[in-house]
Amino acid sequence: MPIPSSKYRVLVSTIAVLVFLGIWEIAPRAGMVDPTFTSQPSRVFAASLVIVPSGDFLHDVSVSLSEFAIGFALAVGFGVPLGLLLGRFPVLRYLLDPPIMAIYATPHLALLPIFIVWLGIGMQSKIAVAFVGGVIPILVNSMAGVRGVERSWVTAARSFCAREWDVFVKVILPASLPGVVMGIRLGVSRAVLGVVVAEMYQSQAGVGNKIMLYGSEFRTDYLLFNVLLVSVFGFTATWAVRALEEKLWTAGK
Amino acid sequence: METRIVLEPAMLQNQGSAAASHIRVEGLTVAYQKPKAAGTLIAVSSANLDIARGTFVTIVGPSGCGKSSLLLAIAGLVQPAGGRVLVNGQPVSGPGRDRAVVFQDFALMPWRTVLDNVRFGLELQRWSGEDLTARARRYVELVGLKGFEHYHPHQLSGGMQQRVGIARALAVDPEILLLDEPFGSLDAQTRDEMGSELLAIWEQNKKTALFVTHGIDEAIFLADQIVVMARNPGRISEIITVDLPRPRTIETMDSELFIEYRRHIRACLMGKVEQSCTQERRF
Repeated sequence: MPIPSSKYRVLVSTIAVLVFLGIWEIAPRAGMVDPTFTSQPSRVFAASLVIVPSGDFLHDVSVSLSEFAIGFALAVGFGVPLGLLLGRFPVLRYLLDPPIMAIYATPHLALLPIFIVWLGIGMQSKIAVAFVGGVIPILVNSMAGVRGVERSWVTAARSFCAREWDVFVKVILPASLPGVVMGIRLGVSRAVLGVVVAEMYQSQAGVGNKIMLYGSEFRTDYLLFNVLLVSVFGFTATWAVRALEEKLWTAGK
Repeated sequence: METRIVLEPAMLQNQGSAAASHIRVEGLTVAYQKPKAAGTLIAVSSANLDIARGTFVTIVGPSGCGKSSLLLAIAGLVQPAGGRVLVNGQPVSGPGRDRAVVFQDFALMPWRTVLDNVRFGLELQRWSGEDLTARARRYVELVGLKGFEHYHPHQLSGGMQQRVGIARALAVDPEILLLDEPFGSLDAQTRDEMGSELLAIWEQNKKTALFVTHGIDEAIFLADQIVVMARNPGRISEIITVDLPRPRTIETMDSELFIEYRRHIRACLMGKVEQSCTQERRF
C-alpha cells in the first residue's frame, strides 16, 4: 500500500477534475464550442434544480432503481448459489458450461428486443435485462472462486470428520467469497447498463427514458444531468462493493 | 555404551493380537489411478504394521515409497484398494474423532486467524459444553504462539504456521496423532527446534503418534520405532526399535548409538542391504 503517496494521488485527481470542469465551463463562454452540443456545468446544475423538485423525477428514479434492485437481487440470488454448485460439482459444470458460455459470449443487450416481445415495454423487460447482465459475471466468478479452493483445505476439514455440508459452509463458502464479491462488482455495472439501455430502447418511464427524451429534444443540460445521475449511482455501488472486496481480500490473505 | 539395535522382523508378519495394538495395518494396499494413461499406481503394497498405544512411530523412506499414503489410509482420508486398517480393533472406514492429522503444507484456512484455525477442528467435531475459544487459546499457548492469536497465517513463518497445525490437531484431543512430513518445508534449524518441542509436548501425555518424514535424523530422534519403507512398489522393508533414552535432547543426536542407527538406516535406504533389511539381524 503506497500510503505516503495516497494524499498526493487524491490531490492530483482533484486538480484534474477541476481543470476539466473549468474548461467545460469556459470553452462555451469563450465561443470555442457551441453550448447546445456541450452544455456547461452551470447549466447542468441549473437543470438539476428544475428536474429534482418535479414529481416526474422521483417517479423515474424509483422506476429505474426498482428495476435495477429486483433484477440485480435475482442475479445475486440465482448466480451465487448456482456458481458455487457448478464450481463444486464438475458434472454440473460440464452439463451447463456450453449454454453459460454461449450467454457469456452474447452481448446481453442484444437480447433486449426479445425480452420486449416476451415481457412488454414495462418494468419486467428491464428487470430481465438487468438480471441477465448481472447474473453471468456473478455466476462465472463464483464458479472461479470455488475452483480456487485448495484441496488441502477440504482434506483438512475431512480429517476432522466434516460432512459435505460442513465443507461447504466452513471451507468452500468463505474461500470463494472474494470471487463471489468480484462477480457482484462486475455484475453491478452490467445490470445498471442493462436497465438504462433497455429504458432508452423502449419504455414508459425511468432515467434512461428521460435520457432518450431529452436527447431527442436537444436539451443537452437535462440529458447530462440524467447521465450524471447514472454515473454517480454506478460509481457509488461499485465503490461500495470494491471496499467490501478489499476487506475480504485482506482478511483472506 | 553398548551398541545394540534389535530388529523386529516379527512385526513384519501378521502376528500379535489385534486387541493389543492401537493401530493395526493388515495387508494394506493403496493404489491411485494414473492421470490420463491407463493403469494404476501401487503406492503401498500389502503392508502389515502394528503400533502399540502410546508409542511414537516414524515412517522413513525415499519419496514415492508410499509413506504418506500409508499414513493417509490410517487417517481414513484414502480408501485402500486392499487390506484394512484397524484402530482399537475397529476397522477404519473414514476419518474419526480418535485421529487427527497434521499436514505437510499446513492446510490452514487463510481467512481464519490463528485462534480460529485452532477452533476449526473443534467446530467441525461440534464440541460443546466448553468455550471453544478458551480451549483453542490454551492450545495456541501450548505450542508457544501466545500473543499471535489474532494473526493470519500469511503473517507467520512456516514454523509458526505448523505450530498452528499441531495445535489444531491436539485441540480435538485425539488418541492418535498423524503427522505427514510436518516439518518437510521448514529449514533445518527450525526443523530441529520443532522436533524437540513436539517431543516435549508428546511426553506430557504420550498419545500414539505416527510421523512421516524423509529425514533420517528426525526419524531416529523422535521414534520409539522406525518403519523403513522402500519403493516400487511401496512397501515396509524394516521396522527398527529405537532404544535411545528419553527425554531426548539435541545432544542425543551425537551419541554413538544414534550414529549407529543412522548408518544402518541409510544403508537400508540406499538398498545396499536390501536383503538383510528384511531379515532378522543383530549387530
